[in-house]
Amino acid sequence: MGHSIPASATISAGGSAGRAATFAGNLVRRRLSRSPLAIAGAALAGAVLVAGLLAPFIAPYRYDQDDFRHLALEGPSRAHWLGVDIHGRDTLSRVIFGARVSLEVALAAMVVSVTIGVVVGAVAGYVGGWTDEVLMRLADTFSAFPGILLAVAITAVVEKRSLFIVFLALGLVGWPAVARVVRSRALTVREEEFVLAARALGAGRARIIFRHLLPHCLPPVIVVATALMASNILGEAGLGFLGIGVEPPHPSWGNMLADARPRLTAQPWLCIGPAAAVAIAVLGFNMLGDALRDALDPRQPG
Amino acid sequence: MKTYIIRRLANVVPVLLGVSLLTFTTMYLLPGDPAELLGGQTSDPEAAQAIRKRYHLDQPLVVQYIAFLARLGRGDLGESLRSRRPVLRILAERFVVTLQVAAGALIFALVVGLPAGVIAATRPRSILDGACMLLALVGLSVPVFLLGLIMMILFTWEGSFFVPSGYAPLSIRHLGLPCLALGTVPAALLARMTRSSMLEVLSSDHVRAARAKGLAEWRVVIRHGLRNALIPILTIIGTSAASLLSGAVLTETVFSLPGLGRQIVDAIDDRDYPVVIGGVLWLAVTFVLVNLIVDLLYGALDPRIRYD
Repeated sequence: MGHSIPASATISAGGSAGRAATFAGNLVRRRLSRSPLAIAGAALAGAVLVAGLLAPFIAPYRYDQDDFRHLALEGPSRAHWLGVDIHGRDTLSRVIFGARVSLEVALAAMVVSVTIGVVVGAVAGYVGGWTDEVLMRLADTFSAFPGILLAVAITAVVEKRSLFIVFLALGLVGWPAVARVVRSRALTVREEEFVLAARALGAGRARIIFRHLLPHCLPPVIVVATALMASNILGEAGLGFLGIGVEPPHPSWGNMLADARPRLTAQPWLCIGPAAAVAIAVLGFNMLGDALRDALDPRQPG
Repeated sequence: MKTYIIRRLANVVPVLLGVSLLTFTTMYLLPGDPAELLGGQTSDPEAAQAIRKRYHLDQPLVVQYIAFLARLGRGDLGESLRSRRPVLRILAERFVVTLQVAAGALIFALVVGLPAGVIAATRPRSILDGACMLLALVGLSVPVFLLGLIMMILFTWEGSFFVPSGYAPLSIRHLGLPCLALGTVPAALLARMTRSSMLEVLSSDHVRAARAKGLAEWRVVIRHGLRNALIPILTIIGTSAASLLSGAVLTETVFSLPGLGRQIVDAIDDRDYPVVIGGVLWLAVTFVLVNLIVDLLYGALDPRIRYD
């Protein structure tokens, strides 16, 4: 096989899982294309993705551009659909550029979580014994550690706002969930006969874990990763609200909401844009996650 | 059972050590000298040195950490660098506030999420089911602080029942809105989990038997179905414990409540190390204990789960 694994096999791709994966991949794809949840989720998340990628082309103004023809804090108008903020900047444009920050942070943090979680989970599950014990206590430690406070503390350390801190904090908070999912899967997969076969052929531990074990642990990871995207976007918004994240004048949905807070009743349009953007992005990824979970669940019919 | 409890308690020790070490190291790496904070206006280097000596801030990290552990063993978390009051007492005062909000949020989640899940499960794929589940998804997707802000706009005005900010013990006027805001996510999670586990139970044989012997439908649902849905409730309490406790930072910020989360954030700004370390440990202990109790209750509620 090896050479001709079709694209549809990506869901549980891997050298040892060729034909079965193709079949499962087709099934998953069919289920997803029929699920209204998946379509709605993909549409919402996709809209945010497009906004982030094409921000400079879509946004009517630049995110740091004052429009002197309009008064600061002016309400919605034909020129500025969501009004202008206290510096005379177009709110809609800032919401669109804010998508970049949210997606960048969410994606980077998700990659950190998945990388650490997959490696830790697979090693803990396959090796077992004391290694398992130590790694899982480490996972417990990180889930018991309040992540928001970690970010606040590190921001105080470097005395500078930076996105790096946000994604590191969110990434470190997210990995135990991935590790637990991978570990429980690895515990069952390691008893399979192809693992025994690989061992009989003299494959080393690392080779077995990364070549044979991991591909079979990936489907639940996709579900968790999608959920992490949603919770990371929420996390970035929360941290931005506390004043942690990108340096102004760069817009993030969190810092826009923080700026809008004192003017909630007088200029409510300032908060509607970023609020709706967070809700749409998170809702989209949550829906996608739900749809993926249903589609990858072998107990579901059809 | 007894050995299970002992083993779980034994697991708690390394986790708490890890959390304390993590916090301790982060605090140690923080720039900004607490001695200056304590010395205040007097920029006398000798006085600052004396303060460093008094609080052992001149010792290396390892020595400080071991001394900290030794004091912790005697139940002593030190005293605040700012107010000179015992850290334990400060934290206990603040925790009372956070606990009230978290408990209120959990009650809200039970009152709203549980019935919503049951109703959705008894009429699967109906409009009511769809509406409940869509609402739950939306509830999961709105940031806590945003909900707080929206509620503030909607429910508070000059002379309204709810008060937009401030704290009074056990006062619904002050704590009602924070509880609603913080309780929305657990409510949504609970509704989803109750629905899926009820759906599973309602299609099982013992429920069919109950229906076949002519029991009233509400009785089947409540007596035979809902009992089995108690497990997801427990799970939600366990998983929500973390977000209720540390997520309370945002709620406490929005509603200006003097809770534990807010205290820790303020202490970070003040470089008040003992309060930060004590506070994070306090949160971690609470989180670990809640999850331990939840795990033990699983066995009490579901005789099929055994510990050995």
